[in-house]
Order: sequence, then structure tokens, then C-alpha cells
Amino acid sequence: MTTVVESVDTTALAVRTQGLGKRYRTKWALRDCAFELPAGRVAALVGANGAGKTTLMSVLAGLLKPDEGTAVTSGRVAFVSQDKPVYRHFSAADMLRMGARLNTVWDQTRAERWLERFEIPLGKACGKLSGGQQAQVAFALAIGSRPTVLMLDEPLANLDPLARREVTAELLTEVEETGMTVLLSTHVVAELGGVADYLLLLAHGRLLAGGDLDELLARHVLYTGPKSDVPPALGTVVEARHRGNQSTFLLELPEDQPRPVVAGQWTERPVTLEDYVLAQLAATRKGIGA
Amino acid sequence: MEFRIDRASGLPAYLQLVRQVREALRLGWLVPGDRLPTVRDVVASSGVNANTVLKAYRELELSGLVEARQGSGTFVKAALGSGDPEVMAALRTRFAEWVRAAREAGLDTEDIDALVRSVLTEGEGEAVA
Amino acid sequence: MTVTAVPVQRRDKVGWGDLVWLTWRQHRWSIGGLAVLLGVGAVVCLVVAAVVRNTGRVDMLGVIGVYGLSQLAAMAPMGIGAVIGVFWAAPLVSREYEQKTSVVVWSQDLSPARWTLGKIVLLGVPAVGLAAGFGSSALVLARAVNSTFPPEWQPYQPFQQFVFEASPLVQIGYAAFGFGLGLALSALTRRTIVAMALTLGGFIVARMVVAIGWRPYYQTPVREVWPYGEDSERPYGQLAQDHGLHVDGGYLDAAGREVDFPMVCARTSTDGNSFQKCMADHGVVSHFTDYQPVERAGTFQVIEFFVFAVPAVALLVFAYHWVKRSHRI
Repeated sequence: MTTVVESVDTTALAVRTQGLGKRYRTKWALRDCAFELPAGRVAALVGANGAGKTTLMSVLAGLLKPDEGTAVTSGRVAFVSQDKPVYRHFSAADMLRMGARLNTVWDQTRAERWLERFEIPLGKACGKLSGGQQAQVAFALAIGSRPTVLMLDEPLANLDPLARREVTAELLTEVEETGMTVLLSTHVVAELGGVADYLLLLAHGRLLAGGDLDELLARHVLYTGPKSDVPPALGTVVEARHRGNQSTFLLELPEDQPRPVVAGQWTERPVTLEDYVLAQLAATRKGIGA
Repeated sequence: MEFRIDRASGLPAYLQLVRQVREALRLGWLVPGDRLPTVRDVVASSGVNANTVLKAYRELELSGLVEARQGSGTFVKAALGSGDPEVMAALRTRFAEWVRAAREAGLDTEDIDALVRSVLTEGEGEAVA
Repeated sequence: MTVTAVPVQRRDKVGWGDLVWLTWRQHRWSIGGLAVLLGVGAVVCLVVAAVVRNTGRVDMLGVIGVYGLSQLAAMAPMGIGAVIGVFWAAPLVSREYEQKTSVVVWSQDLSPARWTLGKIVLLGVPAVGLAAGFGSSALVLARAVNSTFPPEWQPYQPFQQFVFEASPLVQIGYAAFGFGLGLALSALTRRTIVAMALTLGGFIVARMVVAIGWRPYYQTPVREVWPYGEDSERPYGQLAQDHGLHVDGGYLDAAGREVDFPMVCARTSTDGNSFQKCMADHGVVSHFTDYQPVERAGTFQVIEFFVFAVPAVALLVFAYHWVKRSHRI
């Protein structure tokens, strides 16, 4: 299934971009974007609104031509955009028929199972379904096409809390069964724990950080202690906050070194994804760090 | 058993799974010979990424608590050395007394948590050194 | 690989059959609607034509009459290209963009380029087919009506606007142009209503400019000159009997140059003689009439076809590349 393979190293890559850039008139929506996404991962594409998430996904889906750089995806790509559009005059069954017609690989059983799971009537015109139901039809179409890389732009937006959890679980089950790679964008970082295992952080059209989520978070620590200009351990300061007589540092620890021991009045706390993302985004705004 | 992921916790999801298995072992909910839920079951029931579950199971395997048997699943291999039940009970009683003393001294749950954590951190430091 | 109830379907590529399915499923009402309308119209024309030929009579069909019907049928082809442009082509891409379904359809194993090519072929061919078919039927009826008159009184003549334009070849040109214009505007504006309005306006303007300003000059008109004098009505009568296309007419001086009509003569002359004298004083020695002889009608239809077909191809190529370029979502 893997089609474009440039060298041995890249066989296990699902997506690879180099110097990718896309601009709308004079404004760059995406710039110098370079990353590699290993196959089989569930990657979260995180960034503020307007960070370039949708643009990046559209380029990877082949819907937009980049103005510079290259993007290579292995195998077939499916993309569900944020609006989760469907043909209003098509029934859900028609949408699946379309999927079967317009894809070289089609898994009718899987697509139907998804619709059944969410109790979507097959015969009703999509225009008469609720927004949430239309989203399920769009998901079923993407799942049925058995992509190598599945890209979802804000997949959980506009879904109710229960549906969010169910869609996540179903999606991850599909990933487990088919081995596909998933790239999903979101700005609700809190929902990613345990869902994503890879992070791509975008800000202002540029890639701030990327990598295995656990490794990334394990390399960072949050220290809180008495007011101080320097952190209690060696490392790169991602974010420093000083309130009253207290200082907080989010530190990126040097690689390949044991975790430092910090005694005294400092307390350390593991960094949550939310801490990390917010600190990184705040840092770009202030011009520190990246 | 069913896993829960606390998304607000700073602990990586795979470590949360590891911790929950260890707790189950410690509390006797899981005993040697028991089969852990399949990766697919965990994914479907808890909305956790399969890679996360695999990572947790591998971690448990490395620490010798479970073993993967080709084609039939992951099984509990060893009970978690929780020590003599009497010793455990005595420790618990003393700790409860300590917590009561802390409360009387005006500490709330968070203060206690911070204190315990800092002592544990120091202990780890000693262990490393 | 999981075992599933329906095996996973695998193919090499998305074929034309699949595009046919998609096109029909999406546009069955507009394709079907126009096809039924024109089909019924064509059948009526052919049936009436057969009856007229067999009976030699045109005094049927009550108030409208065969003649009225034939006029209606002959005029309909004037609008087919516009209908195709406005209702088939103008919403084609813009509606996909408006409802964001372009993102869906182009993220299957089908590129925007292939999709666009598919739509152009699968809607464009029926469009020109319907236009040509109906035009032919209208002409069959017109010829049947003509056959009931003596040659010099036949009501439908080759250069008459709607007879000229009902020719299948010309109809193909108009339909292709309407389709190309609609599609290009659809891709460019991405707004259905705007594209429809501009297509309608653009189509009408283009047709009028060509019909009035260009068609009479496809070839150099034939000039007939005769001395200014009493016999001045003859050439017009001659022309009318020839059924050619009148282009221009006026006065010439001794050197053969065109002379503007001397208005002063009309104002000052008291009788015929003084008028003629006044005209002669102003240098008028002869009349002329420029016209396109009726034998040229066939050639003119071929030219008219190219006048619309060439821009149609250019517009389609533009639309294809514009959609393919995908510079924004």
C-alpha cells in the first residue's frame, strides 16, 4: 500500500514535509513546515485558531497546492474537514455508494458498522439529518475508504459530550484494527490525553515542536518555589512566571541525563499536555524560546 | 478490569494504566493467571490509543508483572509484593495517625499531598545517589 | 486483516462509469428536466412535421396553429445555450465550494482535475447533444411548413435569425459556449447566484454582439450598384427574393465613394424632380446594396460555430486549470 518511499529510513513514515509553505496572496498561512510522522501514530495537530492547521491538512490531502516545499504521504489519504460536509440530497447510503465508487479501496462493512453504531438512518437525505448525524456520515465515508493516513480537522467540534467520547473510542478502535495513521487537529488540548501519542504544535504557520507525546512531556518539568530569576535546575526555560514572592518555571531538561533532584522549597510537578502547549504558545507570543 | 484516564492529570496516560494494573494487583483484584483485557477492549471501553495500551503492557512486562502469550493475550505473572498483610495494616494505622496529626496542625489535603510528595522526592533522590 | 461480511473492494482506479454514476446522481433532475422538455418538444415537432408533409396542410392545431408552433420551435433553440450555461454549468463548481462538498469529493481517490474533466465531458456532451437534437427537429418542422408554400413564399429562409441559429452545428457552438462560460464563471466567482447572473448576461451580450455586429461581415458582402434614378426599388425586391442577408445600403458618387444622404435635399425639395436634381448636385450618381447571398448561409453557420466553439474551448480549458490549480479551499 505504501507508495512513495524515498529511502529506507522513510518506510515507516506516514507523512513527511520539508520546507512546506502556503500563502494566501501575501500572507503566509504556513511557512518552513518540516516534520515527519511515523506510521501507525495518532498525532495531534495543535495550535491556536489561524495557526495553519487547516491549511496544512488541506495541503497534505492534496486539496491545496503548496507554494514551496514538499509533502509526501504514504498511501491513500482521507480527509474530513471541520464542517464535515455531505451532499444534502444524498442519503447516507448514497454517500457510502459514492465512497465505493470514488475510492480504489472500499470497506462497506466498516462504513455501515459506523453508521449503525451511531444509529444513523441510511435512507434519509443528509440534508434532513442533524449536524451531529451528518458528521457521522462524513466519518463513515472516511473510515470506509480505508486510508493509510486519516486526517480529521477538529473532529469533535459540534459533537455533544457523549458523542465526543464515543467517536474517540470508535476511532481509536478503527485505528487499532486497521493500523492506519491518524492526524487530528484540535484546539481542545484537554481531550487529547491517552488519545494522541504524537504531537505537532503549530503557531503562526510554523512548526514549534513535534514528537512522541510521552517523551516530550517526560523531558519537561514544572517547578514552583520562592521568587527567583533562575530555575532550580539546568535546562531550557520554556516559560517563567513570577507572581508575588513565588516563581514558576517550565523547564525543558537536557536530553540523556537523569532527572535532577531539586531540594529545598521547590516543588516539582509533571507537565500536562495543556501546560506544555499553553507555555509554548505563550512563549511564541512573547518571543522567548522557539 | 476497566481503565480510567484522568486527562487533567500530569501523568502520561500509559503510566496511568500501569498504575491502575499495579493497584489492582496490590488490592488483589488481579491475581497471577488472570488475563488482562485485550488491547482492543481497552481501546473500545476507555477511548485510549492502542499504542498507549501497548506501551503500558510492555512496561508491565518489563517489570515482570505480566507476560504476553503468543496469540492468547497478556496474563498476570506475579503478584505485587505488598508484603505481610499485618505489616501493611500496621503501616496504614500509623499513617492514618500521622494524617490526623497533620490535620490537627491545620494542614489541608493539598498541604498533606505536597508534603508527602516532597518527602517521596527526597527519598528518590537518596535512592539515585 | 479483519474478516468482514462484505469483502473489502479493491480496484486499480476510479473509472468513467463511476463518474457517470456521480454525475447522474448529482444532476439527474437538471439533466432529466431539460432532456424531457426538449425531448417532448422534439417529438412534437417531428410528429407535426410528418403530418404536415403527408397532408400538405398547415391549418391544424387551433389558435396556435402549425405555423405558430413552428415559430415557437424555431425560436426555442435561441435559449438552449443560455439555459445550459445558467442552470447546468454556473452552479457546477460554485455549489460544491459553497456547500464545501468539494473537500469531500476531491479527497476521495479522485483528483480535482479528473473530477472537472469528468463533469465537462459527462455534462457537456449531453448539453450539446440536446441542443443539436432539438435544433434539428425544429428545422425539420420548419422545412415541412416551407414545403406547403411555393418556393418564393416559403416563410423560413436560411438567413432568418432563428432558422440560421437552429442549425445543429450552430446549436453545438452555442451550447458549448454557454457551458464553458457558466463553468468558468462558476470556478472564478465560487458563488452560484453570481455565476448564474453573469452567465446569463454574458451569454446574451455575446450572442447579440455577434449576431448584430459580426455575423454580417463574416465574408466581404456582395455589393450591387445601380444608377440613381427611377428604378430604385428593384434591387431591394431582388434581394428579398434571393433571401440573402442585407448588410448595408446607400449612395455613391461618381468615384464610387459612399455619400451620406444629403438631408438638405429632403428639406428643400418641393417635388421629385427638384429632389433628384438636389441629389445629383450633391454628387449622388448611384445606389448600392451590400448583402450576403443566400448560398453563403452554410459557410456562415460553420463560421458562427467556430466563433462560439473556439472561446468555449478556451473557457473550458481555463476552468479546468483554475479548478486544478486549487490555490485556496
